[in-house]
Amino acid sequence: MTQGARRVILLINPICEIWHKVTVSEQKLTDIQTPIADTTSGGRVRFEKERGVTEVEVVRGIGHVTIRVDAEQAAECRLELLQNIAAAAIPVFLVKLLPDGMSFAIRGGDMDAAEELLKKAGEEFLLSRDLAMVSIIAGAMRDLSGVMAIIYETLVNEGILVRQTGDAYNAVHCLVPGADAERAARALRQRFDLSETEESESTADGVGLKSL
Amino acid sequence: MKILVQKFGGTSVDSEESRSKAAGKIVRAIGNGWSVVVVVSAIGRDGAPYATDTLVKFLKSVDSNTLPAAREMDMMMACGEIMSTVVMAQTLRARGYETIALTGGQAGIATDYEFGNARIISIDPAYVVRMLEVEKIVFVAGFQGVTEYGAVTTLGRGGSDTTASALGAALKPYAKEIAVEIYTDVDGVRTADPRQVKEARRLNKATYEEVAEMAHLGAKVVHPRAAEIAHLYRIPLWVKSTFADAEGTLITADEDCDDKVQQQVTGITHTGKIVYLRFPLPANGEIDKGQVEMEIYRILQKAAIPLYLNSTDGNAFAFAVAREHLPTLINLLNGLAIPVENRTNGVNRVYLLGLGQRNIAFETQRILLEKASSVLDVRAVEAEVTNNCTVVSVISGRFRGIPGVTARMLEALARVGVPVYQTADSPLSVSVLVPEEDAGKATRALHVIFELATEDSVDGRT
Repeated sequence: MTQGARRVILLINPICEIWHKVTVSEQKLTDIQTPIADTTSGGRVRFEKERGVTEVEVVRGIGHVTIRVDAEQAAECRLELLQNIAAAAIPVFLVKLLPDGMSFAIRGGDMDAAEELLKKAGEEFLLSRDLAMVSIIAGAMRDLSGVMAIIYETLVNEGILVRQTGDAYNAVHCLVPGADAERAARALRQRFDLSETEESESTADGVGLKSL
Repeated sequence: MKILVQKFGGTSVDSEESRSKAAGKIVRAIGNGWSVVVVVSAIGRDGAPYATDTLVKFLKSVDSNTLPAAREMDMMMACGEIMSTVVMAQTLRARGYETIALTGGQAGIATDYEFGNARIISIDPAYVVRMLEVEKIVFVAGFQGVTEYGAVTTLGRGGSDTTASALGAALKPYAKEIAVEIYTDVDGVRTADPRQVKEARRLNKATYEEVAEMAHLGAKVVHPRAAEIAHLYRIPLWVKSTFADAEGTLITADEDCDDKVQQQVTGITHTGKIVYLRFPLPANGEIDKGQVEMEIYRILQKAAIPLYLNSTDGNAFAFAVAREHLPTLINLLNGLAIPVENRTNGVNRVYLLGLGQRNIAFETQRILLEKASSVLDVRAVEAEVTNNCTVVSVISGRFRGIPGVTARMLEALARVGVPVYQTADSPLSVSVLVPEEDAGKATRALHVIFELATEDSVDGRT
């Protein structure tokens, strides 16, 4: 069997005494467009995404809005708010429903427009600027257990406040203060034993986050 | 050489009539000038004599108190595919074609050692290519490979789709044209589950990312691993029906779909029997929230319980788990006391968890901790448990072109009286957590509001 540039590392979590297998590739699989021939093994090719966490990404320049409304009419108020935001073509993401309101994230370039819209609407809101979204990427996040524990252990130990979390089948997203983003990403990369090359960084306005 | 990999699922090979239909697809491809590799799943589903589940039950019946070794379990599970591969090869041989049947290992598929859920490390397609060059139809058992030292492994869920897609990638360098066809009992990828939405339409085209997202969020057409491999190596992937002549759905790269396709909603899915838990901490609890969350996540980690739909807000946090884990979760968390050291004023706090109901564990802990109330600030956290939920998702390759998806979803669901407990989003989807009993109603309402049944306004894919 050839592992090429790949190495498999077994980590023991000293707190939970649970083995974690983290596979690290020096070449991102997303870079592979054609099968890779390995001349030492008679023209074999490599396949499939790695198991476990494979990347930590940072997107800077994100704002976070929390809006409080009358809990009795929360559903109606949230809908009206989202309709107004959509009408203003302000992209939002990490949308979360709260018993007495809602919260969402926005790109840096949309913060002023969002603030103006919410002020005009007379909403009670809190806008936090200069946040960053640190995303922990895995091939099949929802088949994994323990990733959130490791993320929280790492960030709590670093004294980093998590403003919001979100998850998809291939990622867990953590909204943290922008000033802490680099430290958060570095600590998480160390914790998941990822090399420097597995981090990527960009700004929210530059990556075209979607509107919801 | 033009190489076509055709994969036939269990229902495509479970009767003489089905196998005859499948054989017809193979013969037609040969007639169109393709060199054909056929990947076959085990015959039939649970209850059928050679289905994988039947073989597993047979092995376990030897002694119900002794679990089979994972290695031997994989050997047993791989037998179903091997049998159907040989049967299909014989079906074509009986029609006068030169055939050869191969196990996954014989086809050069090497995997890691994760028995029951192995990953393909490499494929050496030399023998398959040699057989194609001498004009044989090559039948390969899906769902399996071998380790470095020859132990048979199985690939887990969607294993045969994964085998087909991976073989397509491995054979690409040897072909002037390559394609993979996944044959099943439906005629392609649909805008929703037709059992829930009778107006659900077949898509002519979808992107790899959309289909992988749909599969992860509940659509049961093609396994996401197969779509991801096809994406990685740019293999055209078709989903077709064994039992119909419809063209099927072509899964392809973003750039191969026109702008209209990319900007529109692709479909609606739903998945999961879910419990949603929200933990509101008492006043000023936000300063301790990170530590409380961390301890709960550590416990879930120890119990190997995956969690999702995470959110955090002020002094509360929430997440969802599969309903099957709720009894374990109640055992683990009810009455749990989480100590939090306060480094600023020296007063130590303890958060005492209750899950939906105050049971003996909670009450006992509370009474015991009250005795230490002079030195401890004991704070009860009564989690709100919302049972019987499911996730309904709207999938789109490019949400940027259609602002206000969440607003439209909430609007549609409010109109039909479906409460939404939480939302989640990814670059390709927006999901809502709703009562399980409302899954069909929610899916239909979303199908209507995004006009998925209307050809002109949807995606131009029909």
